[in-house]
This record gives sequence, C-alpha cells and structure tokens, in this order.
Amino acid sequence: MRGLEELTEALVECIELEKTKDIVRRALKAGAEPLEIVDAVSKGLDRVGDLYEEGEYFLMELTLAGSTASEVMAMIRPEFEGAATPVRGRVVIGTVLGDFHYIGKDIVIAMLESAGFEVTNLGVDVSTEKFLSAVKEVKPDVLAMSGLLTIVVEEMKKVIDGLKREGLRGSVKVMIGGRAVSQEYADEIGADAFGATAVDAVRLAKRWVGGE
Amino acid sequence: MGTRRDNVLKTMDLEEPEEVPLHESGIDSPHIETLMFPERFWSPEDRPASERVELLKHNADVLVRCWDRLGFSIVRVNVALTPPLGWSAKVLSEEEARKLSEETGLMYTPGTFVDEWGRGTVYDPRCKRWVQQYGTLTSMDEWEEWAESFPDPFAEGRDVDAKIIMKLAEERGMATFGVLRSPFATLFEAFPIETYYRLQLEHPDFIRKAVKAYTDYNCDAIKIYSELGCDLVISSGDLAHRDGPHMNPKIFNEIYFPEKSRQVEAAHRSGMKYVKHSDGDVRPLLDGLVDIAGVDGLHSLDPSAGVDIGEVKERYGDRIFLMGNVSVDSLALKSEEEVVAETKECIEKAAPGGGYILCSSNSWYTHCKLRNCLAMVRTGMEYGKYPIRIS
Repeated sequence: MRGLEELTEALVECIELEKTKDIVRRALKAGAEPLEIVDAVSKGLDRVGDLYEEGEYFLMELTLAGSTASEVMAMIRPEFEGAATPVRGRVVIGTVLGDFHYIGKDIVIAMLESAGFEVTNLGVDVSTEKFLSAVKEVKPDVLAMSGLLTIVVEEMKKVIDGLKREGLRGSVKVMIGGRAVSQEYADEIGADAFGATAVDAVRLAKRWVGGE
Repeated sequence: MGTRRDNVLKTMDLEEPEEVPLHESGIDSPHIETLMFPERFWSPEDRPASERVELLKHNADVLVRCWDRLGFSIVRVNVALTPPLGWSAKVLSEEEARKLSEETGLMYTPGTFVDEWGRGTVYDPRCKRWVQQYGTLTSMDEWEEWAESFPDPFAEGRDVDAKIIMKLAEERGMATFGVLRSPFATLFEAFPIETYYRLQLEHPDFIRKAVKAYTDYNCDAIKIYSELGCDLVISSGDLAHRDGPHMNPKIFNEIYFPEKSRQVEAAHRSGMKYVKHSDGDVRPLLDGLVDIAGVDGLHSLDPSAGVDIGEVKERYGDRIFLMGNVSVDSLALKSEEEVVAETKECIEKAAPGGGYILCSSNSWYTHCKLRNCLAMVRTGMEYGKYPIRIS
C-alpha cells in the first residue's frame, strides 16, 4: 500500500511530525490495518538505525525517528478497538546511582517505546533498592542500566548481585550501556549484554523477547 | 625564568615554552578540600548574606592556592554563568515537579533548581555541585517569553568573584581563562532533547535567531573578560557524544560555527585566545571548528571517544594549540602506573614544537582517584620540560 511505504519513508527522511501524522490519517482512511502501520513504522526505524550505524545519520535523526514513531503509536492506539495495544515486552530502565546523565537513556527509551516495548523509566541516580523493587513490581523482560561516569561500573554490579541475592536474576535479561562500560565488563559482572547504541539496545531487547 | 603565565602565552602562540603548562578546567570540591585539608570552602548556608564578599574571598583564596599548590598555570574565572546580585533560582516543589514530569514525560524531581538559562539542575551531594538535567522550555513561544528578559552580562554582581580571583592569580604569575557556554549547548539544554532536535529540523530560522542572541551575550562576556585581564576564554558545552557529533556536521558548519567565529573575532580584538571544549568524538567537526569558526585551541580531545591527540596534532598542530587528554576514565579506574604511561604518551605526542597544555580529558570529578590525578601532575612536571625527552 502506497501510504504505508510513504510512512516508512517519512520516518527515514525525518519529515515534519504533522506531515507524518497526516500520512497515518490518510493510510487509516484508505483502509490500512493498525498492525500494518506498526510494521511500516518498524521498517522505518530499522532503516534509520542502519543509517546511524553507517555514519550517515546522527543522534538527531535517531532521536527524532524514535519520537515520531512514539507519536504514531499513540495515534493508532484507539484503533485497536478495546483490545490491548500489542506490547512486545516490558523494560525497566534507569541511570545508576551516582550518575545524573540522561540523554543516552532517554533516547533508548524513545526507541524502545516506538518498537512496541512498554518502558518503566526510573530516571537518574537510581539506587540498587529502587531497581530491585521495580523488577519485583513490573516483572520486566529486560532490565536496562545506563551510566556515563566511570563510577557506574561498581553500581551496575551491585544491582546484578542484588538480583541474584533476591532470586530474580533468572527472570530478567540485563543489558548495560554507557560510555564507561563494554561487553567485557558486561561479561565480568554477569550482565547478559552490552548495548553500544540505542539501536543495539532495541535489537537486543527484540531478540530476547523473541521478536527477531 | 618566566612565570607560569609566560609559559601559557608562548604555548598559545604555538612556541615552545620552558615547560608544558599544567591545567584543569575544574576540580570537584571534595578533592579540593582533601588537597587543602583542614581548610574548607564556606557554604552560603553557613554565612549571613552580609558576609557574601568575605565568603567569596575565602573560597577564591582556597581555590587559587590549591591550583598554585598543584602547579597549575591557568585559573578559571566565571562571569558569563554567574548569576547577578539578587537573582534567585526557582526551585521546583513536589507538585511542580510532578506536573512538569507529566507534561514533558521527563523526570523532574522536587528540589530541581531552574537556572537563569531555563535549565533544570539538581544537586549532587557526592560531588557537591549542581548537575544540569532537563530543559524546562517546551516550545518556541516559551523561549520567546523567556527571552523577553534575556540575561544581561553586565548585570551587577556577576563579576565580583572574578575580580577577586584575578587578583590572586596575578599575584602568583598565573594565567586566567574566562568561562563561556557555547550557544549550541545553552540552547540544547534549555529544551527537552526531542523538542530541541525538532526545532532544529523544522524551524531553523528560530534556531538561527536564538543562536545569535546567545552569541551576542557571549561577545559581551568576552569584553568583560578582556577588561578583567583574562588571557583566554574557553567555551564549554559538548558538541558530540561517544559515537560522534550530535548532528550532521553540515548543520554546525552552516549555523553554529559562523556564529562562533564572531566570538573568536571578539576574543582576538580583545587580545585573547579562544578555545572550544567538547567531550565526545569531535573528529568530524574539527575542520569546521578550525576553518570556519577559527578557534585557537581545542580542549578535552576525549580519548574514550577515540580521539588521538597525536593525530590531531599532526593534522592541525601548526594552526591551533591542544589541551588534553589524559582520560578521566583512566583517572577513575586505572592504576598509577597506567596513568603515568598515558601522561607520558600525551606529552610525547603533543608537546614537541609547543602548542600543548597538559590536562585531563574533562576535569577531576569526584570519582577520579586523587592519587592518579597527582601522578598525572608529577609526570607532567618531570617529563614536560623542553626540550621534550621521554625515555
């Protein structure tokens, strides 16, 4: 359907938000199914992710694509006629204790939400206790910890040790991200994976919940 | 033998001084208080308002003597980002924080302090400093409303602390730098990230207008720094993150760097040098910063983001001086021996021929190990004497 291809293209080209919303309205009017809209958005996000990794796109395009996709998802939610909007999986995310950086985390959130994940954002400077409490309450598929400062390496380990201590480690996949950490560190502290970029984070989360 | 300031001036003119100047743009208070023990900074809460000048004098004295003790060459003075006399911050109540969080989807917390530039900041008790959090402006209209009372660089009281520090630095033969915040960073930080990017994409004329306003402010601040007697200005604010620039370098080249060149020219008219700081992988921006903006120096050169000071020296070393780049991550995580080796490598790559100031790739933040920081300083003193011989 032409409208759906146009929607994918709108995401990739980062056209104005209102124009993208018009494309969605026209597609729905022309009989597109909500799930087809979700699929078109998802294709657009994948392409933007590829362009980012190829160095053609920058943080701006990545963030805007995620934000636009979230807006589109919010638009079509009522189209699911009472049925729950399909949720791909649940993610709890936060910047660990001692670190107030948020940009990377917030971009990961936008990308995850636009990919259909329900995200619980714990904010910045999040204590081990708060992470553990959220895992117990939300029962997420994925726990994501972010941090830019080097101090985070200790804090991330504390959270994973806490999950083990509380018998929760087997119930949740753990990803870490941020400037100071790496796959080697993820292996060392017992995280499941390191996500170098927001695109990586979405790819990992999709793989873990069986979406890819 | 010349003063430390003489060494800095020669370095900035791309000549070989007697020794590589040592520098840090900032050290978190807990480290300063450890280094200066038993002396402490006075807190505004502990002193009546009538003793404000005494408090500033005491704190400036502790700070400058700390820099002096460490052998640093350049002291920081801050007029541009210091609030004027009588200005008070808006501190968000629990209800306001909740409402803003709901409206914007961001994590405002009670106690968030909204600064003069519309940036929400929170206090980090471990580092004893305010950390920038979220922009509180959510639209062009809100920015226009905020800009109706645009901060005045000449407002009374901004320069009180700077004057005290200038005098103390001059007595010790140290150079001084004035702090600026780059228009990109100030604008970026005034809005939630997505809002800023959308404005950049959909309303470039608004962005140009805002960047011009911030640039005008900085040009006036440069005049003030010149009158105070500063030797250089350093423009803070990151243009890049670990993976690369925030935006396509074309946008920086078309909108931001031509405005930056106005600041550089203002600095040159006043006899000062202009340095741009940025963390992250700035390599795709270096041509624009050097050729379009015309900066005199670069600060940070973040090795954790892949920036190799030797490569930058080889490519631009005949046109700009370099300030960096012992990794802050190394200062926090590695051993003294590793920091010594890294410092020697920086000196070996960047110091020959002059045009090099040794410092970390950001600042000595609380989580850096102080013994590693001091190892960097000792290595700089031992191996930074010209002619450079690292063996």
